[in-house]
Amino acid sequence: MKRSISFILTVALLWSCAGFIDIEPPKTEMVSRSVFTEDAAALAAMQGVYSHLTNSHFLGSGLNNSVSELTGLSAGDYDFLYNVDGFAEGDIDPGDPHVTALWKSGYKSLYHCNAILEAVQVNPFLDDATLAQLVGESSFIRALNYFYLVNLFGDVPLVLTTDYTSNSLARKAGQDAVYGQVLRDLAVAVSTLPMDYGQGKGQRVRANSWVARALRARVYLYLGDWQGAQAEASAVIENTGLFNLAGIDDKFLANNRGAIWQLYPSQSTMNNAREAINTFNNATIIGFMTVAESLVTAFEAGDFRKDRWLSRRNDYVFPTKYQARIRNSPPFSEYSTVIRLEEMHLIRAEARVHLGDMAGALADIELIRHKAGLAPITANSPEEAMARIRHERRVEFFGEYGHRWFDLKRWGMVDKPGYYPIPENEYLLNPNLQ
Amino acid sequence: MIMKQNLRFRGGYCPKRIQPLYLLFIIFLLTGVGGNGAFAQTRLSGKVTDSLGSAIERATVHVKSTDTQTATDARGFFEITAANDAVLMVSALGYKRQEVPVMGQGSVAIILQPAANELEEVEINAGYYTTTRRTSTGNISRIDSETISQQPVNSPLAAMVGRMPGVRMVQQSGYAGSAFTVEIRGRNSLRDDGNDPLYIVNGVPFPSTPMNQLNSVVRFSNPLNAINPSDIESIEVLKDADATAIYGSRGANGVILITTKQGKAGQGLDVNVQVSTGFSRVSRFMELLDREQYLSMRREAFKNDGIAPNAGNAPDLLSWDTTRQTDWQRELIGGTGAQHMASASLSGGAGGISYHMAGTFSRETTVMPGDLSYRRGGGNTSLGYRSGDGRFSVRATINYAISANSLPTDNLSSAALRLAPNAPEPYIDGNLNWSGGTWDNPYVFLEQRHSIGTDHLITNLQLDYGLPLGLAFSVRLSHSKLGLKEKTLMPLRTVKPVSGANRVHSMAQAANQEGGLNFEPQLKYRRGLAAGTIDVMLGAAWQENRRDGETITAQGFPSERLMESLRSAEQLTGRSNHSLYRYQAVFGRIAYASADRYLLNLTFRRDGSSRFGSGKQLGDFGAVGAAWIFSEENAVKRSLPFLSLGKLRASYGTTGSDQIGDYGYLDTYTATLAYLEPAILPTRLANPLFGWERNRKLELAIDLAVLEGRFEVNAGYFRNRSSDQLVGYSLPAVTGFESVQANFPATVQNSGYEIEARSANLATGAFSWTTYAHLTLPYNRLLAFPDIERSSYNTLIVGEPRPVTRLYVFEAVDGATGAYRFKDLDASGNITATGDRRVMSRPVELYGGMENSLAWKGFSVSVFLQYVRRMDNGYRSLFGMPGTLQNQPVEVMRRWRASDDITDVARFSRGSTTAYSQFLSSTANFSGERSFIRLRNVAVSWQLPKRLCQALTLRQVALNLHGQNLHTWTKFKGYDPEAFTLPLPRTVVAGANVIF
Repeated sequence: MKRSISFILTVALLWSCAGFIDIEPPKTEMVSRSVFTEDAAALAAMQGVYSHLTNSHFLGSGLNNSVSELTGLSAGDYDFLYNVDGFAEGDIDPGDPHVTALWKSGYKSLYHCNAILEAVQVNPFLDDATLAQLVGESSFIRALNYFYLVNLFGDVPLVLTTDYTSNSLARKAGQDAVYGQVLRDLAVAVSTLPMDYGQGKGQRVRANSWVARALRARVYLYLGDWQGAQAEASAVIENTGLFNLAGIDDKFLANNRGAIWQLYPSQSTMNNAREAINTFNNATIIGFMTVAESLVTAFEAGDFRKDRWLSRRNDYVFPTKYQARIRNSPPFSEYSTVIRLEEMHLIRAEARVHLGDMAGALADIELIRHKAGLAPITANSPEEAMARIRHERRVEFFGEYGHRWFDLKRWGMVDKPGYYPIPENEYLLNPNLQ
Repeated sequence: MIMKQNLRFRGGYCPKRIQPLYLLFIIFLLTGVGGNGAFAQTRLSGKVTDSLGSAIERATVHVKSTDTQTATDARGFFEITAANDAVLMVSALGYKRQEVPVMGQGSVAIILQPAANELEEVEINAGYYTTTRRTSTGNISRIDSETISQQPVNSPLAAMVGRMPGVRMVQQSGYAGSAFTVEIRGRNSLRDDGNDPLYIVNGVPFPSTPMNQLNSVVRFSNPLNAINPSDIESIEVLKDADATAIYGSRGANGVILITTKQGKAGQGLDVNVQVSTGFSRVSRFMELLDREQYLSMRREAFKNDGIAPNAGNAPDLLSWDTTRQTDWQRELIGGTGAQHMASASLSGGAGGISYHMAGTFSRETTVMPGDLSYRRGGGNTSLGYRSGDGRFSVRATINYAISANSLPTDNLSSAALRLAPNAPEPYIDGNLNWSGGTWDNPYVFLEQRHSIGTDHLITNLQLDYGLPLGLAFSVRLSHSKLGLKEKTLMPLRTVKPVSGANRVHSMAQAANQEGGLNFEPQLKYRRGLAAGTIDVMLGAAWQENRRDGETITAQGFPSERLMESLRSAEQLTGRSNHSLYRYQAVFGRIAYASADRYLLNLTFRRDGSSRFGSGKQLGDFGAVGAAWIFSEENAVKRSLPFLSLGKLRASYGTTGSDQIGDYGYLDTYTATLAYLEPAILPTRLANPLFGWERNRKLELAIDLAVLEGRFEVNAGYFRNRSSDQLVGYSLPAVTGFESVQANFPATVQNSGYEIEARSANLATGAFSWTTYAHLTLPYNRLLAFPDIERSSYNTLIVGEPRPVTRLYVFEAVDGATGAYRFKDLDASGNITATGDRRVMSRPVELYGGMENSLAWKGFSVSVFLQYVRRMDNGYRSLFGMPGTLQNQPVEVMRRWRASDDITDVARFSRGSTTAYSQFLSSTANFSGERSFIRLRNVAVSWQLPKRLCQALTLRQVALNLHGQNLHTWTKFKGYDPEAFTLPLPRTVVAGANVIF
C-alpha cells in the first residue's frame, strides 16, 4: 500500500511540470556569484561598503550616537541634552542600545569587507585594476573598523571570514593580535591602492594609498612606534602636490586640500554632512550636543577656533565646526572629514618629542597654531612639549572621530572604565566570548 | 534541475515490480474485492431524499447485521442486494439515521429527517472534505456566523478570540486593523515569526504576511483583517495531525478555514438587511501622578542626584508652566468612537440555481482626537448551478473588500501615560506648540496622517462532475488579488523644530500587490467495502503567489497642499520589491467507516516549495486518524442507554512548515543608498541547506454525549513535537548579521489538555439555557537540543519551557542608599546578566472561555467570558525610571526617601540607571497579575412576534444590542493585560436585522 502511494505520488509529480518550483532569483536582488563577474557590479559592492560606513551609527560621524558623539561625551568635551546616559559617568549599561549599535555596525562593515576579500579570491574574471581596488579598499576599511573596535572595546573577536558557523563562536583576540591584523591590512592597502583620488573622480571620498598611510601613521602612534609614525606622517605631509593645510574656514569643505579622506554624505534625505545638521548645530533652539564648559575655557585667548567652532545660544555652547545646512541635491559643500592633514602634523610632533627632536615637534605645532591665528610657542622640556601637543589635539579635534577619548586613554588620563562594555547579547549568544 | 534528478531517482526504483502492485491497487479500488455478500438475494433499488424531496448524495445504505453496504449516487439512487426480511440502515451526514425494513419490496423511497443535535447536524469543513462532530477522527473547532455576527468586531480574527480550546489569540492593540498573535496549540517554532497558522479562504491559501511597508501603529497587520466578518459563514480551526496533514507542509501550526456565505438550493428568496450603530471607549485608565506629585518627584530626583535642574535637562520644571495640569489619558485616548454598519444580502435558490449576494458598509471612528476613521465596504457574490441529474455542479464565488483606514503615525497611548501632567498646551492659536522644542507634541502623530487603503478580490470557481463507478472529479480554480496602498504625510509644521530634523514637507507612499493563483484538481471515489464505506481522494495542487511593491519617499514640496504631487517634490527616492512563491503538491486521503463505529482516516501529501534550495524542495507528510464510536456497540447500548455518543479517537502524523521568507537560500546583493555611484550590499547570510521543518502531532481524545446530545464533553490530550526547527538562528553580531536561516536539531514540545463541554441546561417549552465552556492547559518544553551550550541558543534550557525566563532576584531597596538591590548569585561582587539571573519556573498557564445563552420566546441573551492565566512582566515596564522626564503610576510615591526607609520603590533619579533596567527584568516586576477574566461579549436580541411581523409584511425582525470587551477583571494596573499599547475599546452597538 505504502509503495503504491509512493508510486502514485511520484507519477503525479512527474506528470506535473517538474520545474514549477525552481524559481528565478528575485528581480530586485543580484546573486552574489554574478556580482563578482562584472566589474561595474563588483565596484558597486565596494561602493556599498562606503555607503554603509557613511550611514552607520558607527563611523557616520554626524549621526546621533555615532563614535564622534558618544566618545565626545566620554571624553567630557560634550554634554548631551537628551537621553544618553552613563557615558559621561562611565557607567554604561551592557545592554545600552547606542553601544550595541556601534558594535553591530562595525562588524556589519567587517562582513562587507570580508565578503569582498573572499569573493575576489575565486573570481578571476575581474579586471586587474578592479581587483586591486577591491582588495585595497576592503583591506583599508577592515583595518579602520578594527582600529576603532579595539580602541572602543579593548579585546574583540578577530573575524576575517564570512563563515558564520565559526564566527559565531569566535573568541576574543588580544589587542596585539588585532593591531597586528590592522597593520597587515594597511600594508596590503598601501601597496595595492592607487596614489591619487582617481577612483572617486577626484573627490577625496575613497581610500587611496595615502589614506592608508595616514591611518598607519595613527596606528604607529598609538602603538608607540615613533619612527614608524614619523615616517608615515612625513610621507603624507611631504606630498604637497596633493595635500596642504587648509585655512580655518575650509577644513571641512568638500575635497579641501587639507582633507586626506572624507565620507560622502550619501543619506537619502537632507544631504550635506550630518555634523552641521545633527551634532554641530547652530540652530536657534536647543539641539542635541552641547560643548562642556571645561572645553570652552580650554581655548587660548585669540584662538580663531574658539570663535569659529563654538557658538553660544540659550545658555548653551554648540559646536559649529560644520556649518552647511540641509541641502537636498548635490553638489554638497561639506563632507564628514575622517582624516585630515593637521593630524599628520600633530602625530609627527608627538613622535618627534619621543624621538628627541624638539625643534621638529615645535615646527609642526607651529603650523597648526598659525592657521588658528596664534603666536609660536616654546617648550623647555619634552613634558612641556607634550602638554602643548595635548592641548593642540584637544582644541583641534574635539568632537571628531573619537580623537580626544582615545588620546586621554593612551595618555593614561582617564579615571573611569576605558572601554565600553561589549553588548550583553553577544555574551549570551556566543559561549566562547568570555 | 535538481528536482528532475530527484524525480528520476524516485520514479526509477523498479517500476516493473511496482506496476503489478499498482494495477492490483486500482483493481481493488474499482471492484471492491471483499465487497458484496455471497448470498444470492433480492436485488433492491431505492432513492434517498430529504423532507423537501431533494436527493441526498452519499447516504450510506447498510443491510443490518451483514457486511453489505452501498452509497447513494448524486441523484440519491442506490442499488443493493438484500434478503426479503432484511432491514436497511440508512445514514447520511447531517441526517438522523433511519431503519427501513425491506419487506419484499423491489424499490423503496426513503426520506431522512434532519439530525436533531449538533453532533451530526453541523457539517464541519475539514478543507478537502466535510465531516461532523460524530464522525470526525480529527480535532476541528468551529464558530459559525451567529457567533461572529453578535460581536461588534472589525476582523474575522477578533471574532475568534477566546472562543476555541487550543487556540490562543491576542489582539496586539486597539488600533483598527492591528495585528493578532495567533498560536494554535502553542509556539512550535523557536522563531518568533514562524508560528502563524495557514489561512484558507474558500479553499484558497490566503497570505498572512503583512503587506505594509511604511511604519505605523499597524505595521504588522494581517491581510485577513480585510475580510468582512459579516460575510463569513463559518470559521474552522484544524488542530491535530489527522485534520492538518492534508495540508502537509503548511499545517504545522494549524489551519484556519474561512468559508464565506453561499446560497442554498431549494430555498425561497431571502432578503436580509442589517443595520447597527454604537460607540466605543477605552474601558480602563491608569492612575498616574498628578501635577503636584509629579513636580515633587522631579525636584526630589534632581536633589538626589545632586544636579541642578537647567533648561536643558528640566524644561518641565523651568520652562513649562508648573500650574498647568492635563490628564493626558483622557485628552489623547479618552474620546468616544462611533461605529456604524449596514449590510444587505439576497439569497435563495430555484431549480438547479442557488445564489447569494451581499454588500456591506461600515465606518468606525476612534477614541483619539481628530477625525480618524476606519471605513470598509465589500461585496460577496456566490452563484451555483447543479444539473438536473445532479451529476454536474459548478459554483463561482467572488469576494470583494475595500477598506480605508486613517491612523496616527505613532502610538498615542504611551504618550498618554508618560507625558508630564504639566506638559505644554498642544496648540497655540491653532498651531502645534513646540514650546521651544522642549517636548514631543503627541498631536504630531494625528496631524501627520497615515492612511492605508486595501482592496481584495478573491474569485473562486469549483466544478464537480460525477463519473460512473462511484467516481467524482472536481476542479478548484482560484485567483486572489490583494492590494494595499499606504501614504504618510509629514507637513513641515509637524516636524519638531530641532536642528537634526529635516525642515521640509515630506511624504512617503507605498503600494504592494499580491496576486495568487491556485489550481487544484481532485478525484474522489466512494463505495461500500465490507461492512463500511471507503472514501478515497487524490488531488494535486499548484500555487503561485507573486508580490510586487514599491515605496516612494518624496520631500521638499513647495507647499503642504502639493504634498501628494510627486512632480513637485525636490527629491524622490524609490525602492521596489518583488518576490515569487511557488508551491506544488499531490495529496490524498483514504477514509474508511465501518458499521458507523470504526473510523479510519489516512491522509498523505507530498509537497514542493520554492522557499528551499535545490534538492531540499520536496517533503512527505502524512497522518493516521482513527476513531471508535463505542456507544454503537450493542453491549454499551444495553448497559449505558443514556449515552448518545461515546467516541475514542487518536491521531498521529507529521506536518511541516515552510514559513520563512522567500529566497532564504540565495546568497545575493541588494541595492543600498548610492555612494557617489550606485551601491549594493549583501542581503542576508545565505544557507542553501535548510529544508522542511517537521512537526509530529499526537492526539488522544474522548468525546461523550448523553441524553440525546444534551450534555456533551470532549476531552483530549495533544502533543506536538517540532523538530528540524527552521529558525532564523540568532547569531552574535560579529557574524555581520543577527540571524541565519537554518534547520536546527532542537525539538520543541507543545503538549496539553483541552476540554470542552456543551450543555443544554434547560429546555422547557419557551425557555432554554445552554452553556458552552472550554479550557486549555498548555505546556511548552524544549525537549532536546544537542550541544546547546555551544550554540547561540544557550539561553534556553533543555527540559524547561521556552522562552526561559531569567530574572534578577530582587532583594529590597537598600535602606542606606535607596538603590535597588539584587541577590549576587555568583558572589562576584557585581550584578551581571550572565551570573546573577535565576531561571524562573512558571506555573501552568491556562486559558478558556465560557458562553451562556438564554432564550425565552423571542428574547435571547448570550454572555461570553474569556479567561487567561499567565505570568509576565508587570505594568512598570510601561515606564522608565521614576524621576526622569515622564509621568509615573501613583505607586512610585512610596519611594525611598531617607535612610532606613523600607519600601520597594528605589529613590528617584533624573537619569535611568542600570539598576532600573535590571529591576524591570527582576522578580519584582514579574508576576501573575497579567491574568484576567474578560467579559468579552454580551449579545441581547429580541425577535418581534410573528404576528407583528406579518402585519408589517416582514418575515422576521430582530433587534439586538451587542457589547464587546465590556469589563476586565484583573490585578494588572496597566491599561490592558494583553495589549501593551492602545487598549481594546469597550464597544456597545445596537442594531436591527430584518428579513423580508
